[in-house]
Amino acid sequence: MHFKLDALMRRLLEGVQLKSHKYFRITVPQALTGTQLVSLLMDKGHFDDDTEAAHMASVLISYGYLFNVMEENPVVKDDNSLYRIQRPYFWPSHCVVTDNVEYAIYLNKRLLRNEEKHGLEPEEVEHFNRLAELLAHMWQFITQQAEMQLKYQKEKKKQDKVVFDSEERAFWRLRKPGVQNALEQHVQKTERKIRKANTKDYRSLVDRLKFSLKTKPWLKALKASDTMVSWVEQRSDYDPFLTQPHPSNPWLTDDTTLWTLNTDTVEVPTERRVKRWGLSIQELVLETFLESEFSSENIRFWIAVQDLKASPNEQIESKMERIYDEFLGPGAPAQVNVDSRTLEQTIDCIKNADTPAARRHAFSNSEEHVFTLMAKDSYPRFVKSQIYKGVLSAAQQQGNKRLGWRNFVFNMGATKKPLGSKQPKSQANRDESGSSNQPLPKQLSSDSLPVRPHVK
Amino acid sequence: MSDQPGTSKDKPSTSSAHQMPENAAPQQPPSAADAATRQADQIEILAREAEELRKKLDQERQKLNDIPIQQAAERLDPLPNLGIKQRRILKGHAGKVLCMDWSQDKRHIVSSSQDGKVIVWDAFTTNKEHALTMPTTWVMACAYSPSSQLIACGGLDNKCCVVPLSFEEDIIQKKRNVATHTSYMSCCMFLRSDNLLLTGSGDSTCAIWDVESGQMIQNFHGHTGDVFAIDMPKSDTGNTFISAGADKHSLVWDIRTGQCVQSFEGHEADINTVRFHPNGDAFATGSDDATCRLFDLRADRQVCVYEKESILFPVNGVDFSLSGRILFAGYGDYRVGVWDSLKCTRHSVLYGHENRISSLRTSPDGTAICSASWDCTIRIWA
Repeated sequence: MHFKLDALMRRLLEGVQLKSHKYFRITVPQALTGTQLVSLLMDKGHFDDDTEAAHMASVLISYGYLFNVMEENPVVKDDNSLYRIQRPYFWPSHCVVTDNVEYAIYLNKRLLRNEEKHGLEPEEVEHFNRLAELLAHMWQFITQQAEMQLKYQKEKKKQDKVVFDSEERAFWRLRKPGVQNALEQHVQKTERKIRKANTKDYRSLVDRLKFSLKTKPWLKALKASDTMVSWVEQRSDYDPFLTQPHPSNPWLTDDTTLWTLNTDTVEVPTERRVKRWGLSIQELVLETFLESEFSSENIRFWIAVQDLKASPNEQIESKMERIYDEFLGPGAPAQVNVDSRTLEQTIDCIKNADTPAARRHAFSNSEEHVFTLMAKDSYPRFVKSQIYKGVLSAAQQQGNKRLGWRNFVFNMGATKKPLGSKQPKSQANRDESGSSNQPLPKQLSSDSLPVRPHVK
Repeated sequence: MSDQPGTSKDKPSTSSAHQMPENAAPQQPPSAADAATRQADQIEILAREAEELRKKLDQERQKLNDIPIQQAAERLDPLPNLGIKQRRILKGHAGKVLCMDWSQDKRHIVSSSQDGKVIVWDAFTTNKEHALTMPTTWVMACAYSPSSQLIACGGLDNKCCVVPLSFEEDIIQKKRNVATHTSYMSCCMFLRSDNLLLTGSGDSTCAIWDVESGQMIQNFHGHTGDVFAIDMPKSDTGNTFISAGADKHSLVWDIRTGQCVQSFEGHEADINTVRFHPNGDAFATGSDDATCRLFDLRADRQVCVYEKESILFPVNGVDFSLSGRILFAGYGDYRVGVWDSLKCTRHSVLYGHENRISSLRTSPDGTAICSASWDCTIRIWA
């Protein structure tokens, strides 16, 4: 990063025209005004606008590349305040660390000079006293150094002296040892380490590359981009940053109705939410609602496996058994539709699972199989189904909030299969609240459910 | 599925440490020097082989004769004026805020800072609800559990601990260590349930832990540098996650086997942050090289670079808007960049923070973004 900042600063130095400015009655040599600085940055830094350039100038001040000549204001404004570009010797890329000795020499120098002009601030006196104590063993060296540097400086022209003094002062204002500044690094950057790749790393890399060469699993980027563009386009209506949410964005209006409307226990899901279920199976799977989906055993199996994967170690064994007995084992009450090969693989996995991770994922073959089945088959049926349309139309009639959508969907599921364990806990209230029962559309009764009929 | 014996020095210490001697035993080399040279030779051979394979892959990819994503997005209208402004400011940390995470209730936030404080906020009212003092400085990572009943945090103490949230008692008494690494813990998140915790560490590994018992369920070796960021897809059946860090690589892992299944390169410096695209098939990264990049898992390649000549500072936080159209990036130059993720242009810039941004997250329902900064504040933008 410093490398890039240095490059920018060098471009600035090349393009800059410094001159003396009058600040009230003082002459300030080799400086430029805020306005000049901003336009110079615009010229050399490819910024979009003045705000960006001025912001950059402020950041450069906090990094010690620029400084404000007359005051300690770190914010650069597009005005007549005066700035100087720091001498490259004092850039943070050059002075990576500062130590007490250097600082002591600098303070000593100030003390050796005209008190009126170079006297120390109270804070600096404190630093000086502390350093004198700390570095007592080498204090002679420090004073000598200070004297030598002063002698050397005396040979310079007056104007250069003034400029150098201000540069040095600006530098130490920012870089006092032990005081925080913008250059501080995140501890993870100072601790970071890179190890050499070992044979194992390389082996797995080679295997991975070979695998991709063999299977070429990648899509054409064109295709991938295309699907991504349409995916995003489809969802832009649901993106609060792009389309104002209904009724309003709580952060803007302080009105939390949007959140209340979208909680899981709400009576009628919002229209947008229901429409989103129509976009993909994943949107829907996220909604606990799917538990009541009509192609029961598949979805229940899938959810049980998800639950297994997320369970604490302790419960894994018993949950595995339960899933196997209920969905896969011989004579299972809710046999899922898995072909014999997948079933065999799964049983193998269960037998050989010896680590906690393996046990958790023992069902993954069957799980994938069932998920594909649902995505390809049940889900499109769901979107076309009367349930979906019914809930959607209920959602569209935003006024009638008392429909109790989950209620009727669940009840319909109940005629086909025992309800899942996650049946809404607040069913009772819902029944009450659903008392203003709108007559359910006739076709939503369970016998007309399009579960089986839709055979191609 | 077999847990391959790793080089033991890279292994994070586990509560099931008894495995290690078994693994180390059969690898007794006859002569150490001999083995070293042999290994060096082997590495060289493998490196060369990898290089050749990589070239072949590149050739294959070129044959596809692809177009950039910008072209695919040409038919879209440009982003309208978004009018994003700062809506809340959370003040209360006395040190640099290093990390934050949203609760699933869309309004609570947990944040952690360099001075060892962890604060739980109702961001909507800007009230502090809990404040904990950790026994370490630099609490680099914190996370809310899916149920919003737990938080996890840790950092320089190499640990990740879990604290249940309740108003009844002093919750710090209920703090439990779940994960321990051999170097600092840089990032953590719950894995779709309150029972599983995923952590990334400076010891260059990631691991999944059983929250209840503190046992390691799976660990992930493969990075050659510190891991700085992890993420998993929001809407997936849940068998992969990505990690990235100081070795400039993003790796895709199979949770079931612990194997790395895909890797992506392109960045020229440390990757500080990764975030899945909401479609789950792509992810964005932010790096010290001042760029964000978009990688597509199915296309197995980088599809876009978000960069500008005027941007010189590291990216420390990225996230997408709900539809994935907008990419928000929090920079070291105190600003949030708002990018059109498909047209790959910068749309606007959000000013406000007074020091570098350390973390950025979109709220779960996409109504706002939240940025945490070294200026000790957390800000909500909408």
